[in-house]
Amino acid sequence: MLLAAGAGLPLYGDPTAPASLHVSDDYVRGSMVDAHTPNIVTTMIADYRGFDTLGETMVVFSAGLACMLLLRTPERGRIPTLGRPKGNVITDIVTRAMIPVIQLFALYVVFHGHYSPGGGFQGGALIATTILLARMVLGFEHSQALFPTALGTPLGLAGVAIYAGVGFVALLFGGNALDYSYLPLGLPKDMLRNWGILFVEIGVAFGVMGTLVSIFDDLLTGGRRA
Amino acid sequence: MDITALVTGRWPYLFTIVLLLIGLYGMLVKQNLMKKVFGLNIFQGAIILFFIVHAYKHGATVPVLDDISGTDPARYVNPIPHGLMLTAIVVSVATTGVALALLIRIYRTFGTIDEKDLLVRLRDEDPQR
Amino acid sequence: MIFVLFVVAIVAAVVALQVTDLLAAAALLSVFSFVVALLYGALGAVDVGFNEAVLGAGVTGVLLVVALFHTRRGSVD
Repeated sequence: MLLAAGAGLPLYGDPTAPASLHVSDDYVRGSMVDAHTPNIVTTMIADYRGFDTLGETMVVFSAGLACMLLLRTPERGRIPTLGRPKGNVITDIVTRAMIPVIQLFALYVVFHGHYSPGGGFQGGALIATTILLARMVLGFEHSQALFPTALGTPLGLAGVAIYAGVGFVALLFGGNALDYSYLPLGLPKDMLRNWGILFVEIGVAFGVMGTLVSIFDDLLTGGRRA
Repeated sequence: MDITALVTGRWPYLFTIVLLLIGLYGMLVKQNLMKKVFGLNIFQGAIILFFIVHAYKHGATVPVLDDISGTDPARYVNPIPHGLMLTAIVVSVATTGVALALLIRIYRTFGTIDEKDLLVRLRDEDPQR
Repeated sequence: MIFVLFVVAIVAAVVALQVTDLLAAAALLSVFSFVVALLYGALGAVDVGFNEAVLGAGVTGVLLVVALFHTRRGSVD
């Protein structure tokens, strides 16, 4: 009832005159000129609106911390059925063959985020899904060699630190925080912003990957040790 | 309340509102706490869909600059809602993770995740409620 | 095309909330996330669609299944 009344309000449907004309045009025109990056969405989240993404990385990391605080207990417990190695030869071999391929694709997505859809979030989530696959098919114990459980939260913290560190370096060298054109790399101004976006995307990928694996491990073992 | 204007020119908004209402129904009416988490996910998907429908333009392409369209803003889909929604999706996954951790704690403490049973057991534990 | 995707999404959402077996409901929620990811792609938001497909259909589905193995699988609705 409420939404039927509110539905009279949005004026533009699919045959749309553009809804927000002013800032959006500046971003479209300025993306190649300011940052030498064809992907406008990546420029927007990592450069023009970089503080938003920094806050979001911190939110994701604190969600991982909240899961850890809620669930972890010092009592010992068994690993549930989902975390035991499945004895099936087919899934074993296919998983072992697929994990490196998916990880290579994830690295491609992170580094090619300037020129095609992609970037830090997608790449980090893809690497996290390979680790989740290994935990479920190969068994919780055996996949510790691929990615130990204790590494999850520190890696998430490292991701947030890389992001905040890039901003701080820009502050040290005379500019505003997170203004990549002041990084001390000795390149022209738009290439500096290109490299700044790359560093920041790598930080975001680490953050997302560490946190997702940490949440999964807490939920799988129920927080209990071993 | 102009229903014809809503249906003819703006029908994606109508479907998005229907999805919103389904998600809201799931969160409010269902008794099982896990179904409430499902409703939360449906609700988040519908909200993000609402923003993406706002950003669409007829005859426009993906917001990656290429040589054919140059830098004409009318040829590209509006990229600002896309950027906002990328963070919204990741935050929704983190929120779902924390909600599930809460569910496991509730099950461990009370032995049930059904809302009616839960209220009964809370009342038994603390007779003043 | 977009109309068909909307209809499938609405059907998947309604059925996911009505089924009493929570494992089937989690699988239907993964289907819903996947169809909504296709919808984002069809509306021109390829970055958002990629993200929703990986995170919604992949990670959220797996987390739901893992969590429901620690609690009960059937529900009274």
